[in-house]
Amino acid sequence: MSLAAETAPPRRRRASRRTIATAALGALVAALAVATLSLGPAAIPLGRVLAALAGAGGPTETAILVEIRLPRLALGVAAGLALALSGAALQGLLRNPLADPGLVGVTAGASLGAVSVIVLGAAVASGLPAALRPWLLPGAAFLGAGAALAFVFALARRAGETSVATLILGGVAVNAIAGAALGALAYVSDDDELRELTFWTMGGLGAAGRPLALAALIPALILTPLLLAQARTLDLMALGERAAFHAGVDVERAKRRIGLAAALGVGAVTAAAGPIGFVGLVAPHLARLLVGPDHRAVLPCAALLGVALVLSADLAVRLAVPPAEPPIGLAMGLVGGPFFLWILLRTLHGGGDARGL
Amino acid sequence: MLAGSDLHLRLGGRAALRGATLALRSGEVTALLGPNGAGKSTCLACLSGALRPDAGRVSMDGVDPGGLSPAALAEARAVLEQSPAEGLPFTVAALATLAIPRRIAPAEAEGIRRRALAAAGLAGFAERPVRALSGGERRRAHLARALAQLLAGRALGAGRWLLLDEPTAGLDLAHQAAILRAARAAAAEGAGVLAVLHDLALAAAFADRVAIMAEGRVVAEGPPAGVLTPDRLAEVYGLPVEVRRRADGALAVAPLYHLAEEPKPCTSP
Repeated sequence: MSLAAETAPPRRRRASRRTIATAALGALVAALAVATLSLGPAAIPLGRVLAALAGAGGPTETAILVEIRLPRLALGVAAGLALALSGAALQGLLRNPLADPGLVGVTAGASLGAVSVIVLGAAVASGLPAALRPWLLPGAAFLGAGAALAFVFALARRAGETSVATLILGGVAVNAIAGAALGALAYVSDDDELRELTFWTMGGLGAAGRPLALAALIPALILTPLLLAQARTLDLMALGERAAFHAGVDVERAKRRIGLAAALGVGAVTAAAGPIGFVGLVAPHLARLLVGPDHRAVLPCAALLGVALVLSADLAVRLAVPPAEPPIGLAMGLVGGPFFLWILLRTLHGGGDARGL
Repeated sequence: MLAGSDLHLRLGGRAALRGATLALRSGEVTALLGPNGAGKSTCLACLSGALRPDAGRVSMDGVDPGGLSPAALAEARAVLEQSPAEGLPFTVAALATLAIPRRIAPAEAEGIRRRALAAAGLAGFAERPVRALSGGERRRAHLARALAQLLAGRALGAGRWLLLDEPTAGLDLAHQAAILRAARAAAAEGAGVLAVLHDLALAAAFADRVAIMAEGRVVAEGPPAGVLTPDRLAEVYGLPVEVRRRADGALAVAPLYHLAEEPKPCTSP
């Protein structure tokens, strides 16, 4: 709010560091976006990418770009924005550095919805008009995410207040229940279904078609300004709910708003791309290491970092063993888990404590 | 006027307030005293709009604070919590700025922040991280946050009430005095100040009016000399207290501790 008017030298230095970090991340995202469009089994040089996008390219290249790579980019951007911003906002709201959409059960709910359709959906799908069939799986994933979040928020709400501890414990319970249900569904599924559900639960940007990728991008673009506007609320929530209320925050409304935005964005992205872990955890923590704790700087940085993480992971899996394409969720877990552990150990050994992450 | 009349409130199955009546006036510091569990913080929370009483009514400049939005309340009054959470690793300046609504222009917010820090005695601490401060300095940093909110409220045409919940708890003598001097300065500028205190000597020295609570009620209210009498203090705290007028006219209040338990604890007339 007052960054432009700051006169004290240390603040100006910090403000310019934020500007530089944000600009550098923006440039990185732009470069990754270009690489996403241009690289792949069939490499298309940048000039021909631009020509094809302007409608002057060859039919094959145009088809590859419009049908495959643009939806892929859209879904990657949507996943990065939704997962990273939801993670940053939930961590601030719940005053818990481990909170992410996975922890409160949203991802598990979405997975259960999607896998139910894969295993049990054939009967339902045959009764649906052909135009609606492709939407059955994402719709179910979205409903699952919404149901999981509604359940944990209802569980945590007592006498008009939402208990953060209960919310997280409710998320743990939802994860356990959904995990058991997923196991049961895997047990009753046949070989084809088992293969499909296994791949779905590993996540990927390539499987979603154009309509689905766009359907995921729209909620992500809606929730981005909504969550970016919560910076002051999140800063104040760190002082405790009573102090935030004293400073003018409508605490219950902030919880509902952020919870809903997270469910909407993560539900839509998980429906299209499958579960992608660690982005919601790693991106906000990296952003805090880069620009400090202030949410006005953390939120935009985390959003850009989230997109950069998803796009670079997607590029890595596509370029690793072409034309095969290992699942991005798998890559995220392989890289993200140890990386997170490294951040944690570094902070602990630096004499810090894990809350400052 | 910020007043609660005949407030009743049950919290966790216990009657925390049982007919408490208290009125704050602009330009005055009111000290709220009483034993632990007497309902002081609950009374403050009702006046601040954070809790709604089961019965009785609160009036903040003629309006029920329970019906105001949190943002409107934040402009009307500022609160220093008894124990705010540690928060993010902010600097003192960033913590104070946090309490200023965004409707205030950056240049004006900068001025408000500087005045709040100066009033809290932290003018040279602006860029120090709050977590690196001592307990007393940290308390003053949070006081600066409350003062910044009060000043911002005044800039928006409100900002009349400052409520301090045990602002001096756990602090050394110099920090206690610094905090209450800042409270007096806020009152001198027109704010009505309520400070929940445990130290009778501080209340006698800094308050314009004193209210004593016991078992959910305000049992005495008025200027310090009229309220802080040996008989009443012995009755409320179950401990003899010496009250005398010093040569310079100031009131000196000191509890008379005995090593063994009091022979005659509560003398009810």
